[in-house]
Amino acid sequence: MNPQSELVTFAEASITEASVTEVFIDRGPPLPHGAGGPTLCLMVQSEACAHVYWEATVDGPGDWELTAWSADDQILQRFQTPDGPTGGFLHVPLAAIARIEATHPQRSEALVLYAPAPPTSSPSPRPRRLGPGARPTSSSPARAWST
Amino acid sequence: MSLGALSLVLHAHLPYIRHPEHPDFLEEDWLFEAIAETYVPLLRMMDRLEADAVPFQLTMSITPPLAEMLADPLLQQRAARRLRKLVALATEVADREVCGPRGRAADHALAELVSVSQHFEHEWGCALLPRFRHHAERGQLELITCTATHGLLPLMATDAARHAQVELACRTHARHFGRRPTGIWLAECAWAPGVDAHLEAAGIAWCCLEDRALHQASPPAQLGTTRPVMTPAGVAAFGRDAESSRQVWSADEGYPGDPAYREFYRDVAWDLPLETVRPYLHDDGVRRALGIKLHRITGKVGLDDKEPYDPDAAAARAEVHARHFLAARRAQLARLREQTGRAAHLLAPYDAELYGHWWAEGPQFLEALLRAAAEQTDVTLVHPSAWLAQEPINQVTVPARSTWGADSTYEVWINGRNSWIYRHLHQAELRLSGLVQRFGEDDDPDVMRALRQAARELLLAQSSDWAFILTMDTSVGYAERRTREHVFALTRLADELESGQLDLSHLAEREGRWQIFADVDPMLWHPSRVVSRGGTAVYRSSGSEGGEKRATVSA
Repeated sequence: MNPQSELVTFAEASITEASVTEVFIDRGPPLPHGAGGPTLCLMVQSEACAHVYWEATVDGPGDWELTAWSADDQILQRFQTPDGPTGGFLHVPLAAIARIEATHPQRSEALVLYAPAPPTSSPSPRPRRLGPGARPTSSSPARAWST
Repeated sequence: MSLGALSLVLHAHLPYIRHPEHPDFLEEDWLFEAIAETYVPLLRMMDRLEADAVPFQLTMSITPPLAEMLADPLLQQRAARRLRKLVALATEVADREVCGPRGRAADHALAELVSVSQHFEHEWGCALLPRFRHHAERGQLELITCTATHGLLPLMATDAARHAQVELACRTHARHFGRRPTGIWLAECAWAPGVDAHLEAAGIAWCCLEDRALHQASPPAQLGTTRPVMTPAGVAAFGRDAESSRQVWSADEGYPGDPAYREFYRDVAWDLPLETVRPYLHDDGVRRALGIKLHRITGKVGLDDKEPYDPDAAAARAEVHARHFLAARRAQLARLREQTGRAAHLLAPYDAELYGHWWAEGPQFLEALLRAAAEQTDVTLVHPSAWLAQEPINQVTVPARSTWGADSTYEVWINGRNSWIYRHLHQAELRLSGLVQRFGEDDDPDVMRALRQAARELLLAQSSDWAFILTMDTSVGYAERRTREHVFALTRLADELESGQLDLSHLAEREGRWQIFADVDPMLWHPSRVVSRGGTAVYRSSGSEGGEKRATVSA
């Protein structure tokens, strides 16, 4: 993978079964919309893959962009999520990720999550800058977890 | 002199499925099948060993939702009803096959079902937990727990939720079996550094992990999986022995694939005319397996070409396989002793439902193995707790993040099919913790009822079974519905609590439908009550640009 040029369009997998039958399947009530606050979460699937989801403060159309950065500010992976889905999978060695950013240029909003510092190394540096492109004028305090 | 030790661990689990609103519910069959094909046969095996004064050491996890279902009068009565119907069908099948090539198999199926029904309903009063407790109190069965609803601790957002899953599991175990457990089967063997702090806080001494957790530990376990390691929080972690697992689990090399054994996928539900099986099917009339099977695996042939099942030949193979398994462990332990100069310990964990449900002769294999083990001294069967008491000094290391799923990763439980659930589960965790902080000391009993029900809804939504089913593409509609239903219910209860407008009829309806964890304490989700010393969830969140704050959930 060329980390500088990787651009993946994310389409969240369909959660519905193919409609091959007329039998009614009760899939339950609607789920609540929104997490109630800015959130960016990374969940480890394996050493080389993680699921990331985020929630912003304002609803609306537009393309979010998620970027995984290395400690030396190289782009490890970047993908966009056209209208709607705010999540996807990073397919990079997780140990190489220093931070991830979810940005939405039109909203001047960014969510940033820093990788936990390894127990034997010094803490990762303070954020130096947000990713290239339209630089947000502010970033939202994010509730974020690394599970 | 013993060459080493072997711990056989069976993990018994089913998700909590109870639908009093329907007289007959398809997914409740999972419990009834497990009762008829696994739990009762295993208990009868233990009873026979006790009657014959054969000492044995077996370890079983009975998960909290399974224990709650086995203790539930409604489900007990439904299980008994189901067994009576199957006895009626088996009688009809035996009559039809009386002079045919499947006559012996049909008689065997009928005799088994009659015996199971007799024991379950008439001898044990439909209550299996006291029977498990009896063998535990005799010291031959070690009962351990699992996370409260088989939730995957590393995929949760907060330490409060992890703490609640572990502590509630221990309390539920104590309620059913009279004492808190010393061991835990982490759901899906899902481990991440820091989980051990919650186990230690709950008084758990040991857990089972995938072999990779030890092989790739930091630093690596020097003796591989032949000895447990101690985690930083002081919990012993036993690694699964790959060699003994493969002999039972492997589709190619494993014993359950022997041509003499009963074929799982050929069932009388498809062999008999629809009008014959119709009274035993669910209301939709769709043919589904009924558990009466008259053919053997035969070989790699189509289902139509399977040959009649010979129960005596199958029993003989189970005996052969049991002795082979024991001989293989003896050779393995001898080799390890030569390599390390020390007695090794092997952990052989399996899904309990493999024994009887998937592998019909599994209980026979197990009984033959336990009897053979009692006749020799080279391989000592032990409970993991007993091994630890005997060998308390072990290497300290941090096991690697792992599960017992494919490639030891979390992929089965978080992938494109099911990842959508986690943002809702995480939000539900936070919502409940917020409610507990705000209303946890409230004097109003209805508020406390609502908090307890909100806790139940979160717990039920957190079951790893839903994510698993979504991945495996079986019963997807049900798994999706359960996830949505519980998250929705928690959200509604939270909205009502926060607005001061509790709908008591809705609350009563939810309490009546989901009668799990009657004594659940919502304060388990209070962040200040979390006792965690391992730094489980270390996260950082950025504030305004240039600013940084670091928060550590653990106290």
